[in-house]
Amino acid sequence: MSEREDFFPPTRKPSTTGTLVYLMFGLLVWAAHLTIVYGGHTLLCALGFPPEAASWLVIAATAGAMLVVVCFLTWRKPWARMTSLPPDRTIDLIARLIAILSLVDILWAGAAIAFVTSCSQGR
Amino acid sequence: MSNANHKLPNPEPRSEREVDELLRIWATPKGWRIITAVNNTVIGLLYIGAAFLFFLMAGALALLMRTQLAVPENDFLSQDFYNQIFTVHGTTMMFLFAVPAVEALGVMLLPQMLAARDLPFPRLSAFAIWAYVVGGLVFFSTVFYDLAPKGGWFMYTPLTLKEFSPGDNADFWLLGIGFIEISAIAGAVEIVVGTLRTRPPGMSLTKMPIFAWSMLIFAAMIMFAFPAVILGTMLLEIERSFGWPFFTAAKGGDPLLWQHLFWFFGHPEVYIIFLPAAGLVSMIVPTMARRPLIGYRLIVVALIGTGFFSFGLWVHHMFTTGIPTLSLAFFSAASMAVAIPSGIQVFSWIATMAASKGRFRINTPSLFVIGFLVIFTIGGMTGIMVALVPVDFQVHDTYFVVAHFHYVLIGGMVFPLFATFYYWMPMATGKLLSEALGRWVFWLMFAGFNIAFFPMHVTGLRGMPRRVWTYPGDLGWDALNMVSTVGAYIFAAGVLVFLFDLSRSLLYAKAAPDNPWGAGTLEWLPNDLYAMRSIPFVTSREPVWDRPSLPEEVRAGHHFLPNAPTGGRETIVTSAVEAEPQYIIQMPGPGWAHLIAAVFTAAFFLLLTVKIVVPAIICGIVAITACLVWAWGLDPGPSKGEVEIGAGIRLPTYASGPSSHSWWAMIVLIFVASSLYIAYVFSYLYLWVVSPDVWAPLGSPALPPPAWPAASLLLTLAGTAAIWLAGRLLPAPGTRNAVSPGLNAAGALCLVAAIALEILGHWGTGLRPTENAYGALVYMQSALSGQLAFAIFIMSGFAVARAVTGRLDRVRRVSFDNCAVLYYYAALQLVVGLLLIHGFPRVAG
Repeated sequence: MSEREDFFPPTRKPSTTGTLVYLMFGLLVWAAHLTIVYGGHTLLCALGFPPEAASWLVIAATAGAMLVVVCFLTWRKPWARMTSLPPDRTIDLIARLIAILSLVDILWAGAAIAFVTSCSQGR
Repeated sequence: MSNANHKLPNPEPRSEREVDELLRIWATPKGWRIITAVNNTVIGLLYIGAAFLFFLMAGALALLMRTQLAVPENDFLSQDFYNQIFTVHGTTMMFLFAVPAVEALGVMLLPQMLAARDLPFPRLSAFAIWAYVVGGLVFFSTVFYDLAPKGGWFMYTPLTLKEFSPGDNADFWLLGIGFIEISAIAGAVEIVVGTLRTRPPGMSLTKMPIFAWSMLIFAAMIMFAFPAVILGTMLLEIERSFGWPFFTAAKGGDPLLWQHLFWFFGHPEVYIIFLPAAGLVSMIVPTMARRPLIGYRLIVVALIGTGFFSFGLWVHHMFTTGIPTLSLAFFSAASMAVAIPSGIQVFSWIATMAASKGRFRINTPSLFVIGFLVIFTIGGMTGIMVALVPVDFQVHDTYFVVAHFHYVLIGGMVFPLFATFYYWMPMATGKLLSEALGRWVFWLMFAGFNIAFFPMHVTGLRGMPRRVWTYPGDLGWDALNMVSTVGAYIFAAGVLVFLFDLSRSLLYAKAAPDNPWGAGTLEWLPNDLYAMRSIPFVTSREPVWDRPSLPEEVRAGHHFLPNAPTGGRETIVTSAVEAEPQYIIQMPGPGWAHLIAAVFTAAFFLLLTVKIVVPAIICGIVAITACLVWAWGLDPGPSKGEVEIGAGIRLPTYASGPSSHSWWAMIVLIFVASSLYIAYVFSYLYLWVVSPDVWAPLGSPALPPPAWPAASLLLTLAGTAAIWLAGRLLPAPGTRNAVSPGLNAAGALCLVAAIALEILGHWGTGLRPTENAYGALVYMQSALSGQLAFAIFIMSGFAVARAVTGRLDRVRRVSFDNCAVLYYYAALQLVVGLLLIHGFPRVAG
């Protein structure tokens, strides 16, 4: 073992982009969800689509986003491999917690469709 | 598991001459030449000093406002002057105090915390600081000449359009603050690259101090939030100066577009200010509790989560503007959800204090931390209240909101800042502040703050609107306002006692010990102008606690890079995730070029504000020339070869391509440019939703025939190919050729020609930017691409000059790589722009 290897053992090195994407995966899905439900709802209403179309868009986007995050939480190892990430318990735990937080927030925002009518003005 | 816990990278005794050499290399210029200094310890102090000066000046304006509002129907200030004062107060506190103060702490503390000799671009930091100091002082001085803006710190349109705000007052905000935002972005580039690439060997991401995490997220948020308001200020200034109607409803524009652009920046701005402050608290609490922070991983989750969620809240400032209810619900939900990560942090701090089992020290820094917890939590709870749409409808634009955001901002940022002053003062100046006076400062500020701002909740609920210069005496607001004014003066008294304590400490206090609080992080290691004698190998989050011998080992030079092998300023660049040493970065020392560039850049913007165009252009040329002179010496090449840093590790002293720090900086800058462009695309689509009737082909001249965009596209592709080939054909070291620089120049010209064709095509159809919002947006697309093309033109010229003088080859190629990567981005942006401008109306029409 060389002197350098005492300090930096020769292991597979993680990719920077992969690590950052893996860490923030849940939040990236959350951001995409908010963009789609806000932008899509506004656009469909402005284009004169029936409110039901906007409602279904929100439901579909919310269900889709939640499914993606649940898949991430369930099968993390393939995601980690896709992002060239060697197993690191701390990174993995942070990514999981972030995904759970994102899941709650996606559901929380999307649930509004159960209580509020699409394309209506509040005032 | 490595064996390094028991080993030292440089176990043999080191010569003390190495320390003398380090002191000589890192010496601060003497006398008036100190203004040329670039050390983070010197310019960090200047930065924090300037930010605190702005805090004092904006605070003085607040006292004037509170004096005016102390009694009803007061005529102490005129209405017009009051409008100027509240605008300058808010603008100064947000743009000239809060963001610069936390950026200053980053510049000052990060290199010490990461045991780097300095941040990777010292002159960029110095440039940003001087530009901010000069620009900020000129902006603030407008209040003395009746030239200050009057539209509030958010400068809402249509109030700030030329029609309703004639004169130059609003322009001072738009150009002055827009310019200072650019300075903030320069600081953010420095912090992102510094945090990711100059950590000490072994300090992986998961061992990084929480403050470094918070600064990394802070800088990333600046990258994505500030471009929106920069675009907004560009659009508003262009409308005011040239009549392009982005915000004029009669011509298809929309005043609400400004609110979207402003608040897409403005709400993250709150967290941009809060997260670093929370990071500071996460450093102070464990030290005072004498135990590691509980929930390190949860706090990282909270920081990243807050950073993201803060971008989903901007519409909660616009609940009363008539947005569809379902959209309000999305943003209401996000506004409430952000309380979860904020709550995680609060509970982690409380848990750490509780877990200390009575060992938590109560002193001035911890008092300010506890004050922060109390005030910020109250502000957070009223934040949840205003996140509820019906409550917001009720209290919008009342003093309730004034109370809420002062609880969040003063509680969330000013109290942690004062905790920081008392905690890190020994590290920055070698002296302690007074504990007895510190307690006076805390209690005066804490009591004064609550006496001033708590009654405002009630004043607001009783219906007192914001931004009124006076009020009638029979509405039940009188006593509450008087109490608020008394509280404001008590708060100010606390700040005055702090100033006295600060002066006393700097002039008379004895030297403090190296680590007076017994902290566990690296900034408390023995350090000097060159930071630490040797850069420690880090194996835990609190290395000073976990390895008690570390201070002595570092002082004796037993860790990495105990000397200056290149004979100049340098530090170790490590990999972004695991912090494995990669190369030695050679850093520039003191100089004039960045200083001249900063002063003349400020002059360029400020002269443009008052429409003194020719001198402004001359200043712009001087600034660009100074930047080129500055950049000329930045690519030293690999002439120093490899050097030994310890543990048998030999590192190159030069790097180019994706592993180099300059490449990383350019990528960060491209993220900023792309954020700005996304904000433009949003503006285009937003105005189309609002006013489809002005869009081509019905409301405006038909689009140019497809041959025009096709020609632009071909030129762009040809230019991209030329740049790619220029990179492939760079000469071998020690040789020159004409082909590569020729291709480089041709590529730049192709881009300029593509943009010119795009403009000519639309001009030929009779479309004018002043006609309606559609025309303005069409030409704005070319203006944005033109900006990039201008930068590329200069950078290409620079690369060609270096090639001609033999300073550019296939190894020493940083100046070319930077130009090329920006070119590829500019080409992509132009192609997207062509698709948007020529494709969208055809599809949507």
